[in-house]
Amino acid sequence: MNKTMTVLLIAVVLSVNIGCNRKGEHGSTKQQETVIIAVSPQPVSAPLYVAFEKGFFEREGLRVTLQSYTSGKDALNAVIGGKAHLGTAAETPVMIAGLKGEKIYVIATLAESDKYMRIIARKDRGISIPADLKGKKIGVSPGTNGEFFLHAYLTVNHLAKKDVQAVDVLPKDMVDALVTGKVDAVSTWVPHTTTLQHKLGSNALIIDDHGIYVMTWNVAATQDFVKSHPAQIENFLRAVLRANKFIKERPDEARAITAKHIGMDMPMLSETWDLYGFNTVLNQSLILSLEDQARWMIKKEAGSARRTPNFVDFVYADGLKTVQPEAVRISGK
Amino acid sequence: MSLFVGLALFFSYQAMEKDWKNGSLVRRIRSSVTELNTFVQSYIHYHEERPKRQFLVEYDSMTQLIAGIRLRNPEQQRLLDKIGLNSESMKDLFLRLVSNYEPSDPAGNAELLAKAEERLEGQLLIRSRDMDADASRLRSMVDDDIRRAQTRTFTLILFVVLFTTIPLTIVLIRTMKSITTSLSTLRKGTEVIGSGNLGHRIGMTTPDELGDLSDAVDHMTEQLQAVTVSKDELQQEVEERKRAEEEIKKLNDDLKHHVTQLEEANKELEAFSYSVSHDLRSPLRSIDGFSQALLEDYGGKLDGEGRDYLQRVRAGSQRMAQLIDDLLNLSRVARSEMSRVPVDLSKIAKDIANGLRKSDQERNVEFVISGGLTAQGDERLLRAAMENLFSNAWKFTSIHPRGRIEFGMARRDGQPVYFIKDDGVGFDMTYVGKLFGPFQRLHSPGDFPGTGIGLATVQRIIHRHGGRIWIEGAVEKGATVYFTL
Repeated sequence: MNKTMTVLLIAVVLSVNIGCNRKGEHGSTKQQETVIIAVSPQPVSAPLYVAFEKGFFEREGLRVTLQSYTSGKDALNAVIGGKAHLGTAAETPVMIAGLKGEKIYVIATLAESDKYMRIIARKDRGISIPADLKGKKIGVSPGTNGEFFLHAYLTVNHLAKKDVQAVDVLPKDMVDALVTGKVDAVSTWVPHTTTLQHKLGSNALIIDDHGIYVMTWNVAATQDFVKSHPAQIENFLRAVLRANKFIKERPDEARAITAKHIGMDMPMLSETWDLYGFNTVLNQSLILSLEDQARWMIKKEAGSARRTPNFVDFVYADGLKTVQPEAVRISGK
Repeated sequence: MSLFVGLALFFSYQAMEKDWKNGSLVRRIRSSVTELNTFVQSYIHYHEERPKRQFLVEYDSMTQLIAGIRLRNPEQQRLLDKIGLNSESMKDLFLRLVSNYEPSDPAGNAELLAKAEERLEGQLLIRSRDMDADASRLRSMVDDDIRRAQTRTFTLILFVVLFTTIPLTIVLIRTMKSITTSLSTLRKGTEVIGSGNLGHRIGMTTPDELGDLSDAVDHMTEQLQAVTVSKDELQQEVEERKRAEEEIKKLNDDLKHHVTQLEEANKELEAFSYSVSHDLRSPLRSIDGFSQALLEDYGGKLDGEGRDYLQRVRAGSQRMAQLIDDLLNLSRVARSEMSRVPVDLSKIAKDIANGLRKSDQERNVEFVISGGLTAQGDERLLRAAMENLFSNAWKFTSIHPRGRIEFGMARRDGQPVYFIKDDGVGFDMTYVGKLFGPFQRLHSPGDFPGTGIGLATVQRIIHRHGGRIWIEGAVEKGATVYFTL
């Protein structure tokens, strides 16, 4: 009788243990953490939308709330301002935050593209070659990579900033500004560029000099948040990597999800979908890019005493290194 | 199963080889990227011709290299494509940098040119680092593939080794055990058989060579047993024969002894007969002579009855004398020496026939004598025998007005059998056994004269020649005497 009881007891203990392990494996019992992500509604944010819609965040124990911002600059500001835990932004807002001494970390680059930025000009304003931009009003959002792209374009084409008339235009107003003729050209990004191409039709001159700039789309957070939530960062990155896999395996569904979130037509989104290499990495080129733009920014602010910071200190690679070691290619990280 | 594992190993090895090849190519790409970076840096610093040219050569080489690679993993191929695109952009930027440094319009704005150069240089560095990161990542991925392929191949090999060695070892152990058991059974069996128990059988029924060997040994034992039994029987027979031979020898010795005794007795008897015959002749001659003298000198004084008595006395004594002569002949035939020579039996027969014809020319008897019949034997004895036989035939055909006597030869069982055939009175075969006894007669002396010694004499002559003699006949159908020599 005692022997039977012992066997039964062992069986019960084992089944409880196995049950616990199984729950642990599936992660369904992970304590749910609320994470607010500030997202700029652009195609390059697709991994976040997919992870959100497909429940990859939940699987990793993250209860995610997506907040939409018109630009990466705004999204990053929301992070810095404590409105969101994580935010998406191109390297330019990150660079500016770095120059300002904001305590932020880039935890991953979600996508890279050298065809993301374009200058769309109105032909009816006499613009048919780059040199024709001279003296023209060009709409641009300061503090965004749109401004940097315009600078880069003018520079390599031997034009000075003063040769054109830069007009501040909010990203959300960029399309209207050009369509209504408030400006002669705009330097902006997808989806505005695509929308303008469609709206202007043959009147649009598309200046697409992809050799001069590679846009990186990054996820950043405050250093405090990252340091206090390393596990959440890892879980977030796992969910994003799973989303990347999903995008490659089921691109149509991924496009549909993205189109729904950014309010863009599927056909229009499909036109530019292949421009973004959805690859979650941390490359040395990001550091170089940040430095490059920082030098530009410092020169732009004539008389500024600021120095180019060490942007390596603005990168948190431990999270990505843990979940996908080969994705990190930054010396010293 | 082994086909599946073999195929899996083959494909795994092929995949590994492919991965090795790709790994080697990716390492060359990584090396090219590093070289391009070096040339870019060198050109940015010194603006010299050498790094410019080397950049372009290295770029072409790398482009060809990338175009020749097809990676199975789509992620790796995507990275490779990206490296290709980046290198293209790099080349574009580099050429723009070169063009910016060597402007077609030397009178251009130097400050703008410098700014453009700075911008292009910045981008070039970013691109090259990006490309370097991608090449490094691609190499890591391919290296991982190689490691995985190696692990997979190693696992397969391990699988093959485990799943072939273990069963083989089990089979080997079982086989060894089976062989050892079988050999032990065979050894024990052969020991038992070797100890002389030929009735023992190993009786192993295993379907292998040892089973066959067991069968062969059992079969051999069976044969051996059979041979050994035969040998025993043979031995027994030899012993029996020996015993028989000894018995025969003993009997032979007894026989010889009896023969010797018999011969001695016979000699004594013959001597006795001879002497009796010889000694009896003298008184007989006296009886006959004095009976004749009595008849001649005193016949007139005797009446007819007296004379008749005397005539009977004389006839009796003469017959007795004849009997004594025949007995002497018989005795001589038995005692006389034999000399074997070729004898012309046909000629003897003809001589005898002529003699008989002359003795009574009034008789009408036909002699049919086959010519050329010869035999090995004693001519004198054979002639005597044939005279006896012809004489008998002549005698027993005498009461018929015509007679026929035939001498010839027939073959029985390949042997010559001589015969003398007549068509005389014949005899009743019931008494055939009496014919060759001395003094045996089937007819009264009144019918046919004779002493009854003739056929006994003939039989003795034939027997002395090693032959046989017999008679066939029937009453009034004649008789045929057959003899062999």
